[in-house]
Amino acid sequence: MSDLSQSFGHALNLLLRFDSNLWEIVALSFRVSLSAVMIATVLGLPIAAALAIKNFPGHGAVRILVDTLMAMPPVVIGLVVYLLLSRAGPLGIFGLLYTPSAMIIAQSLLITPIIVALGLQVFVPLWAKFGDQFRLFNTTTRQNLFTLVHEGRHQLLTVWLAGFGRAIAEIGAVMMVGGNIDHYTRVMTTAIALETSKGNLEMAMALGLVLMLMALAINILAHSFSRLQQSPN
Amino acid sequence: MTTLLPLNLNDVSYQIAQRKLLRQINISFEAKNLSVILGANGAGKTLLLKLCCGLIQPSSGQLQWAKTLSTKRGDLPPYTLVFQKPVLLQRSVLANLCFALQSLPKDQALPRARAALKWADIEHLSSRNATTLSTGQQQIVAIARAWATAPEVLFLDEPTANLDPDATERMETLIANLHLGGTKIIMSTHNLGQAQRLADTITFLDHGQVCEQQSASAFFATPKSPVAQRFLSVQGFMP
Repeated sequence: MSDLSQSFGHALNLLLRFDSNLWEIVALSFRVSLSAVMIATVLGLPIAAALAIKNFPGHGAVRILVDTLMAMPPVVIGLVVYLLLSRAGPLGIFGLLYTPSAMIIAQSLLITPIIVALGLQVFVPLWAKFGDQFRLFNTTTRQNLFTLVHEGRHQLLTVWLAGFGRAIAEIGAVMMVGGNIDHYTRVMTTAIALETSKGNLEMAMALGLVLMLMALAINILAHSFSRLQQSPN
Repeated sequence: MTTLLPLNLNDVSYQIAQRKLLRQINISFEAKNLSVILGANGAGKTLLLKLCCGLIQPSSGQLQWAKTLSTKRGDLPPYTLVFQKPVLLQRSVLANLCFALQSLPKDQALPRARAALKWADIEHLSSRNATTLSTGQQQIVAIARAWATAPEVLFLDEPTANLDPDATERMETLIANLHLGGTKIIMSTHNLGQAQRLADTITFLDHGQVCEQQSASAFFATPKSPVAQRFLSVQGFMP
């Protein structure tokens, strides 16, 4: 028990004296996961809005596919991206394996279905409410899309945060395609796994604390946004 | 000058999963008259209005405007519908009106939206978030927005069903003003007092069927169909 509290003390110390190794890992985690969630948002939200607005043959199949992809384990995504980016793979010529770019690609693939599925939950009721009115106004599809995003902006921020939370807490895919290379592709989750296996509990706990604080911050933000949604003033 | 009318419905039926919700509707809506579709809840009034607006398609039969509609995507439509429950965006009242006028150049849209606020006497609500207004105020914003698009035909689906007497009176005044201004009004209601105050012609609907269509004065004096007679007598409107 005293070992544990001692480790916790050291972990706090690492955090408060801004240990450069630690903050480098935190910064890379943010860079990778923020980039991934940006890409997933740009890809996922238009798909979600289109699925909510348009009814086309195979619509149901696409929704089942999205739900299936949402349940895909990160290691499977990691394996797929590994096969694509490995030297023998179709994208091997770009030499992206074991780089932060590979980690961004893997996380983008992981959270795009989440953004689509959660985005659908925002857009479907909005379209049910506004669809007929928009048709009467004779507005264009582009105007409809922008208006739906604007109307659901507070809920969409919560969706965005959910995607970011999933990305930054994920370990399987980034470990497989990033390789956990020191000062290059080491992020919080991979570092925690490695440091724990090495017995360096201080570093692991310090990074764990950062992750926990982030989870807290994300939830506080998500609650604030949902409160904003309830009182539009 | 209205050119779209008359609107003729020839043998129009609408059904969902073998359930006939509207049956063989044969009616005509002429220009000039203020037309009221009367009937109990569930008679099919909303469906009939949605059919007329093209929001749903008839399962059989034909719906014919006097002139072919050729509104391009993005143009101001020649008719619009005010829903029973106002559908407004989470933005200011003025922005809500401007949203409906997106196809107009900005230098025309804004003055037109402001004119609509003045017409409905709600200039003081201009910068308020539309979704935080009372239902009565929201419905007045909805009719002002409809006025702003200058439709030839305005459909209203029980526009005062959820409103208090004051808001109802204001809405009725605005509807009458629109009618006097030359807009063809086709509205549904189950409120007999309102139908008597506003209607020139009554179309009486029961269980998805048109029982009669005649002038309001004739309808209230001598309703032809037994269901209409019962509808009037239950509410103390039989002569």
